[in-house]
Amino acid sequence: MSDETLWLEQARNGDDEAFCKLVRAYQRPVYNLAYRMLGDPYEAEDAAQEAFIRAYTKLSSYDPQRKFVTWLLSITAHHCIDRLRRRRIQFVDLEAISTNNRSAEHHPAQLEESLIHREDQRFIQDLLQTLPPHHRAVLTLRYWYDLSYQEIAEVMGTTVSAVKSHLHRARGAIAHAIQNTPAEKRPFGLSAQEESL
Amino acid sequence: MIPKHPCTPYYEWIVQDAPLSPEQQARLEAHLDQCATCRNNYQALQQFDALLSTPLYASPPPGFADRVLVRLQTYRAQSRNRAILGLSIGVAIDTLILFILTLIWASHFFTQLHNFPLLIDHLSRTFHYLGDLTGTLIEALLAIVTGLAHNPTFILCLLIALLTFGLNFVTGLGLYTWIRQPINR
Repeated sequence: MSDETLWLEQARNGDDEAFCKLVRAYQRPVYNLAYRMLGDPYEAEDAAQEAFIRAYTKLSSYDPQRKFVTWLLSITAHHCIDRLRRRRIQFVDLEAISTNNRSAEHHPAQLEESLIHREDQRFIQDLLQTLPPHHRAVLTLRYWYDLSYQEIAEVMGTTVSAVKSHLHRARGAIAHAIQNTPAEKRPFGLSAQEESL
Repeated sequence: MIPKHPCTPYYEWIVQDAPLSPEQQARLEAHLDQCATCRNNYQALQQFDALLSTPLYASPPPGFADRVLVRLQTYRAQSRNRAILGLSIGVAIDTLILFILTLIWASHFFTQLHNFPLLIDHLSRTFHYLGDLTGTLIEALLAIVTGLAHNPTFILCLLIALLTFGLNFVTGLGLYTWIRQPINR
């Protein structure tokens, strides 16, 4: 029996320490997904905590045939999509977000990023914020978690063709957003490359 | 909004998340030499893919698991309080229903009493012959049941009363179980 299976069994029986071990094991992917989708460290922490609480309350319905992390990410993604819907975030201009990016400005220490990568990461985060919730989730699951289309479809509770469609549209929107971003707001590599064309 | 790109199929090839065949790649490169819009899209996504080639993970601040545990305990306490409140309201409503039904039943019973001379007779005998109290009461109860068994109001009240009593019992048992349950489990 693997550690994960054992912890799951113990957590189902009410062992809080076992549940804590599960949280420690998966806090990073859950938090990262929440952060990438919500774009705010405080809200990401709250959403990640809520995702774990929801997972705990649904432990009895967890199917052991399924990967636990996939199941957990599914709960997180749906919760974040709900939050984004509640927030009624619409398509926001990249420029508007860049000038109002309180998360990256105020809490840089919460992101384990080196200074070299910070500008790139902020740019990527800004790009993600321009996407609708489902596109954001699919893109994050694809590039941060390297999940297959099938796995993403399981996480999102949709079909593989829908995932491909979301990804296609998301990449199209990203290309559009990058081109609409003023050169001075792009990471230096991108501006330099375009100028060389 | 995603713009409709006139350069089909090149736009689809640029944005798709899958490698192109050598033949498609060659055709795309030839097109990129001529089309500045597609070239910009292509370069933008190349750069985006490059930025994501080693995606960095955001990690929660230290102590995250402990905070989740605290939240879980708060959640349990709130759930318990909500359940107790809900059950209490349930018991109160059940009791109220039972009380109202009893009133209806009793008023119906007394208004119908004159229609059951046998019952009156038995009741009066009950009071007069205390020595035969037990037997006479049973006979009186039998007379009530016999007399009212065909009365729809009586049957309905009886069924609702029994149902309410059952609900009361279940909610009371649930309440008792919740109260006895320790807050952390």
